Amino acid sequence: MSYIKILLFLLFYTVLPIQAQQMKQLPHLKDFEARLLQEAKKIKSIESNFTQIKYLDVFDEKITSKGTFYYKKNNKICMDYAQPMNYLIVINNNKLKIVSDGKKSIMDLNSNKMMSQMQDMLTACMVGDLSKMSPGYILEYFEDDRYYLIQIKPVNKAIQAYINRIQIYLDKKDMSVHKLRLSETETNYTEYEFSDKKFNSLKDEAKFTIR
Amino acid sequence: MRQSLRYASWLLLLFIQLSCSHRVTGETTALPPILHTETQSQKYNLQLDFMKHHFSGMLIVRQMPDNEIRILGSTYFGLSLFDFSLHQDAFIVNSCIEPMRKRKLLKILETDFKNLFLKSEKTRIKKKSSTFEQRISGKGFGKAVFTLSGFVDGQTEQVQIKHPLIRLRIQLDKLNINNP
Repeated sequence: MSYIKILLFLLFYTVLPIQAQQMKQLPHLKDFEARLLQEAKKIKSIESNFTQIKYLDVFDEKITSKGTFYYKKNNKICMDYAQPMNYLIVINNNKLKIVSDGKKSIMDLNSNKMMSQMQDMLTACMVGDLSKMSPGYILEYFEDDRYYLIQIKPVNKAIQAYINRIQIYLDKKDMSVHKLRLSETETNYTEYEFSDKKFNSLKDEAKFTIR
Repeated sequence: MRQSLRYASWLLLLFIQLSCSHRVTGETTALPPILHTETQSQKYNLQLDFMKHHFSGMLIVRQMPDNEIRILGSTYFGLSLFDFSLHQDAFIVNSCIEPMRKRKLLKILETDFKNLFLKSEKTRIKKKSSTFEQRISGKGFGKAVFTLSGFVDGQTEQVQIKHPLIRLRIQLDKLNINNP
């Protein structure tokens, strides 16, 4: 009996955390930050496909959505969903536009401090430019052969109610965001995976118009 | 005069007895649920219009063991909005984002979800055809008009709930998404 207990203890406190991490802590943070900043400076725009997976722990079910992601410096993001239905989110500086079912709603993010902080954080995470993040987050850095992983935990209790943890996977080739996981609780998360990335190809700002 | 009064009182007594016996034997016909839940998740595009505001998201519903119906709401971006359970006649709020945690709003959602997913004795059919059905429940501020359309194999795939006095409109359209 005690042997089983020891085995279970070892499983939960040693093997499982290693499996969850599967990456080692980053030894040279300065080099990493310098490269991230250098690559972020080169990027004027991003256009890519994305696959979004929302995991519902209560049903043990994943819901998949797909669309196109656009980013343009500074602080302009557009997520154009094509599946399961047409849905558009545009963030342009301090304004947020959502178009669904042919109806448009526009929100001023400045009117709500928490929404403004969330916008800073999401913009920073989606393009991997952490210099844009508001203070109040605990950051940890990991790596494996292909990716850097930045793990972010909000300190603010109001934000914690929505986001428990963020994990950003950066591709070591070009420091672009490969995958972003927003965990609402320990077990519920939404993951965005970006593919077919094109850098600095966007010519105009039509995608980001908020009117 | 005395005889007619006695006759009237007998009539009244008979009326009361008949009314009571009607209730006791439960002969009131309960309407079937508007939307039938299954052990596989059913997904709906959820639109909510309140005054000039429009909101859209996804409603995910599943029949759980022990007669529980689980109802989850989420934005398309992935943010969870609410997680409710209907257990027999009990409405349980498992989680709900702060801006929605308002007693009156939760009460409206409770009544609407009960009318959608449970049998209802308090709702009546106002109009019905093979392609359209309209049900009405409640009175005054609690009045709700359910319009069912888009029937496939006898099951509705489009439901509109209007709360006329509070200018709230909820629209549900079934999404046919294959689970991965």
